[in-house]
Amino acid sequence: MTEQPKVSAQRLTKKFGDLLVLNDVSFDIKKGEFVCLVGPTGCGKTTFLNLLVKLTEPTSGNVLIDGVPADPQKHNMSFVFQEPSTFPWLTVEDNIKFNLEIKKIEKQEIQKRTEHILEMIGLTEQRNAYPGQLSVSAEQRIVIGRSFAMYPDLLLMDEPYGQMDIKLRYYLEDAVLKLWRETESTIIFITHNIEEAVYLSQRCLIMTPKPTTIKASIENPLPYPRNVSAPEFIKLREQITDMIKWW
Amino acid sequence: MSKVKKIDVYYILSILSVLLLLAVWWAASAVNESLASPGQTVERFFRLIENPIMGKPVSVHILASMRRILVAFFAASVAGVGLGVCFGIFPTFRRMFWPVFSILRPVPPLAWIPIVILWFGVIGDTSKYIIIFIGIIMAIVINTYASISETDPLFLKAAKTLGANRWQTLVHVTLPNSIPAIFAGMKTGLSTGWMSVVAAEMIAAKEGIGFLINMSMKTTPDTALDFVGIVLVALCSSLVSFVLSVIERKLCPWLELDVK
Repeated sequence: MTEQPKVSAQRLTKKFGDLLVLNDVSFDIKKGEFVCLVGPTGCGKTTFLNLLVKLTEPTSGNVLIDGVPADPQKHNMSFVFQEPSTFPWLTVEDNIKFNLEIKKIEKQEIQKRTEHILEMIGLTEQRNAYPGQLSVSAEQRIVIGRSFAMYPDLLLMDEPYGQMDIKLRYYLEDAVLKLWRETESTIIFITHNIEEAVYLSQRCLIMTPKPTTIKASIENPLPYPRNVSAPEFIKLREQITDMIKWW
Repeated sequence: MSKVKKIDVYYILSILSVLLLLAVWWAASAVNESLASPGQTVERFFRLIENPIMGKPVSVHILASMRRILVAFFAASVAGVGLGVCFGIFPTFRRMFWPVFSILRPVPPLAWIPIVILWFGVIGDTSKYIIIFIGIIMAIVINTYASISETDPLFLKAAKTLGANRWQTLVHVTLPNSIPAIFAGMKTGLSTGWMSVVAAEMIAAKEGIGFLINMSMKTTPDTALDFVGIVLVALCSSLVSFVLSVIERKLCPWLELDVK
């Protein structure tokens, strides 16, 4: 018997008025898999994630999580947006605890997880600071920590490092990989940075420009931790780049 | 410039502005002798303590006005925030009642005085509470509604994707985000409230700062007593605003941040 996919997009179509954004998109993502959606800016990657968390409804087709329609209130899932979405009125610690308290997890467990996450994102000493007192990168670390605090089955990340410099990007990419290994979450990571996609994911889904379809699904068997200057890494990166150039 | 030095400069500037106001007042009274000077006003205040008007000490007048504004302010805050939230989150409620609110909003609270007095009478504080309440509530409703409806969509999306339901989003996201705007509405409402207090007491009261101001016009014009009333209103309103600011700072510690 084949394992039920964690996420299943079935003939997904999304129109905004006359504009066809997603055109009959279908794919499955396995449980615990780290998948990157790669495509040009404006191709509808964010729309797909918005469909997954019901921020918008599909024109036709379905998105299933564990075989049932996606619902953030029922499924243990988190979303990291492009912009840091910390709550400025909460301290770093309270931001981390936000969804744990929403989901009414036991206080002892909340404290245990919060300590763990604060340590992992390197903000234990700033636990009582407000996001406005910290840098943008620290804010994004809070958001990532907050997302992982739920030990989510499914984590959606929408170009979370889009506006960060290369050093910080590497740091946070490693942080996500570390959290992914510890929590065994399924991660869907959107990026238009091919190197980032190859560095992070086990599989890349290449998307076409609008109306978007899945052009290819490329397995990434390279072992972790990955070396961006290793020949096999460069080869895979160029293979994906060539596919994108083909457009 | 260091933060401490900046604060020092701000304090000095604030004190200078008050001194400038006193200088303008003093100069105006020097030009027009019928206008009481700051010194004559202080002297009149002490005479008022020695010879209370209608046998009521000045503290009774101050406490009467303070009681009226605080009771009306508390009621208007509760009702105003509630109404603003309802306008912000219930589209049907907004469509039904916003037109009514919009029609009534520009009506000055003083325009209600004859109707309220006719209905609730001159005796007792009910009519005054209602007039002050009307003066305060409008700004609170407007600010609460505006801040609720203009909550950053990113916060709402984040709350939704973190699994918060509608009620949790209101309590944990929309309302905390709106606190600064609600306080701004309360401060604006307080200013209008003090206008209403004085007006209501001038028309229908036997005690209160507005009553004192009214007494300054009863026989021969007593501008010193008028100024005593004006200064008392200014001091009382500053005190209430200060307490409100302290509460705001306690509730919104994130607003007083060190720069990144």
